[in-house]
Amino acid sequence: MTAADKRLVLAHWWLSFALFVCALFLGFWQFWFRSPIPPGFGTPTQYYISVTAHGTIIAFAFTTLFAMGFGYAVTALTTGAALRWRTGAWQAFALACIGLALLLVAIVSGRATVLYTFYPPLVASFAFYLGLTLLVVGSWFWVAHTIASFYAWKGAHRGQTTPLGLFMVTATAMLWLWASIGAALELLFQLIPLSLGWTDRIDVGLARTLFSWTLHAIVYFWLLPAYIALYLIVPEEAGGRLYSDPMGRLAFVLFLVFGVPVGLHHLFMDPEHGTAFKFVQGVFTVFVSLPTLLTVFSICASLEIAGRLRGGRGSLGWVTTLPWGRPAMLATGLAAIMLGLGGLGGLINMSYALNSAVHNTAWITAHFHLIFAGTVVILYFAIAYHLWPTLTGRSLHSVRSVRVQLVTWCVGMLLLTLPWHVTGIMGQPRRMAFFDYTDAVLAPTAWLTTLSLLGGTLVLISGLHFLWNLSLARSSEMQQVDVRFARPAVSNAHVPSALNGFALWNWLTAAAMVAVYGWPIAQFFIYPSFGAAGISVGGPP
Amino acid sequence: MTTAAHPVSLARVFAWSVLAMLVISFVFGAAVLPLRPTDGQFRSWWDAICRAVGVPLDERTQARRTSSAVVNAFVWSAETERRIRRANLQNGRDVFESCSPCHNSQNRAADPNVPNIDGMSARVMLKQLYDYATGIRGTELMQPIAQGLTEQDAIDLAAFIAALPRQDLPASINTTSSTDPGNPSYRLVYFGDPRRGIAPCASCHGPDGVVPDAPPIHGLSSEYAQKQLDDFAKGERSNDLYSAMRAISRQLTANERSDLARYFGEPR
Repeated sequence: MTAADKRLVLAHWWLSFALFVCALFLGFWQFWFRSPIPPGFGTPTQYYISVTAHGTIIAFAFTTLFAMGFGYAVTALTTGAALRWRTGAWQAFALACIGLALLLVAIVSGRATVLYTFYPPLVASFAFYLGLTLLVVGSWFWVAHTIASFYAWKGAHRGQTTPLGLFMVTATAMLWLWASIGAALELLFQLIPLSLGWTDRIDVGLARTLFSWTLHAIVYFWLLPAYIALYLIVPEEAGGRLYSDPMGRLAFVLFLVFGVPVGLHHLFMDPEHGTAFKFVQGVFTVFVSLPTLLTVFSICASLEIAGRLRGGRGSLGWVTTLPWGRPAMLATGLAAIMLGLGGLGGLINMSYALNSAVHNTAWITAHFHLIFAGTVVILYFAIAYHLWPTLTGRSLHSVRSVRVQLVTWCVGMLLLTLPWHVTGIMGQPRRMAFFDYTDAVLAPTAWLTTLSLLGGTLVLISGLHFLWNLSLARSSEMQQVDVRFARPAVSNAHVPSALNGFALWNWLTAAAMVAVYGWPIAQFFIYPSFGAAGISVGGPP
Repeated sequence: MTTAAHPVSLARVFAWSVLAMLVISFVFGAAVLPLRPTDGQFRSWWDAICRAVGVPLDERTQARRTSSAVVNAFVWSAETERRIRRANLQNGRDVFESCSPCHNSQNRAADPNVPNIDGMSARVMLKQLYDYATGIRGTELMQPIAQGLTEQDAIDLAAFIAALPRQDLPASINTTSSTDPGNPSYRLVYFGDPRRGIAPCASCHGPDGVVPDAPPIHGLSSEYAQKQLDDFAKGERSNDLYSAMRAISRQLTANERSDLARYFGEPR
């Protein structure tokens, strides 16, 4: 990896981590504000500004910048060559920064309090939507860069199998392209014209449908960098081999096929769609578990290989011989705990009937914090720790400190989200600025919320500890050593040609999208529907 | 590692099974599940499929399904919306000339039994005029007036009234601070009472100001507000959508109704 490529990756990551820590402070304050022991400063209006900033930063900025940086790094490392269009990448980064500045100013000024999911007919200021569009367009450059690098490599190495890491990053980039189209259509054709006053009404049903297209696939866009770490980093750090290269490829293309045509499950309670389409997308949602189950199998098998190489015996003896003290291994173990619990919650959300019981309650917020901020982010930490020495030429100052940070994050997350789930089942609604805990109905949730606040405190401390660990990395002699990714156990395994490219899978995704989103979107243009008048937020009272 | 063509590509088999799954789940979701025993509101297999895929049932079926127990017959269609947007405000102003002798919020001596309608949303206004004209909401006074309006007059009038600024009544009966969280009426307006299934007034009527689908409650005279709450509680007024106001008013005690009515009249 060239020094210039490293600078590009580090620029993305430093910005990403700085935003992440800002969002942690906001999230902590939000929980404190609606807890039984409120901080005594802030207003409900500021609360919703904070919710908007927290969500927008985490969902669109932190994750996208992290994935872009990681994608550039994996592309450079697995192809063994310098990045091809580095100037363009810096320009895209600059564009994303301008977008970010615009949207943050819009949010802080109080004129964009629409939360990160937009919620039309609420209308934010044009700067918010423009900023978001620029950020996404910046990330589209990364998508184009990754896909072009993939096909350039293929062209230069005819008949050979593409490197697994490059294949996985390309799948991630394609998934993001598919995912972002829905929200991009909503922004360009509905929200931006409304915010500029070119139209005075918005079809909320259509807007929600388009956003649902993005809303679930974006989750897999956040998840896939973590899965790349599971396939490429964890078996290597465990001292073993990756169980199967083709199985890893299959898991990633399955995310492409099943990850996008499932968004209607976010609209199970919405009246604008027929039950048939909700059912079909519900079925697809069930099948999204397939690539995750494949991954769990693959990773367990890879770890077993490592464990047995290290002298493990018996059916489970290999588990204890694994080097659990290494950051990536520890993070994987902790992530598995959180993914297990969060996954069970996910089964409830995707069930058509059970969904109605938890709809719009705190359960949902707790669920996505456990899955995303728990499982995914702890693997982001592992990725950062693993690549840091290569990127900076400095080794981490203390592995012990890294371990403490990872464990605190996991304990904090469990303490934060488990009671939060329970308050959801008890009926606590989400998106509320405060609760009156003196009310007999709400009083039983007070101690649970206080417990969550304690977890939130640990999470905040752990987040700062992460930044501290990265900042304190020491100069070392190992500057020239590039990071190594796991090699498959069978080095000449047969890879079907369909798993060496994306044509088939993109066609399949397109066919599925037409089938499951075609009519639900077309109906808004066929039947007359109501437009809702836009409601500008934060204007003069 | 090499990439080789395989006689039977597993990947292609897989791709076909995804498509097959799509078709099977669609047939199941559109044509099998909808046939499960329901409350019997569907007369035919075809109706059930249409509904499952989100195609509106034809006019005939709609009429058959909704012909019984019509309480709120007023329909907010896309056409009504378009006509409100294109309303002739000048004509609305002319029609309002005959309303203003009674419905004049600027007139401090106005009859407290006549509601302050300034700024009421056009949708709400139109529905009230329709309900008066058809006798669904009854006062002897308003029925002939509403019946005398053409449809276009009613739309123009509603749009004109919606454009009027809403003003508070003068401070004359202010007894408690309207923003004191200890005030029971304040709690009912902003928090409701979950134990009795009473939703906060503000959740439909807006925390203050005007919302599109419910009449404004602040700035009503206490006499008028109390009569409406009492009428809803006794079932003498019944043009509320989904019986929401009747259900809530019945849960309120007589004292709470009069306290709320006073509260609505207070300036804020």
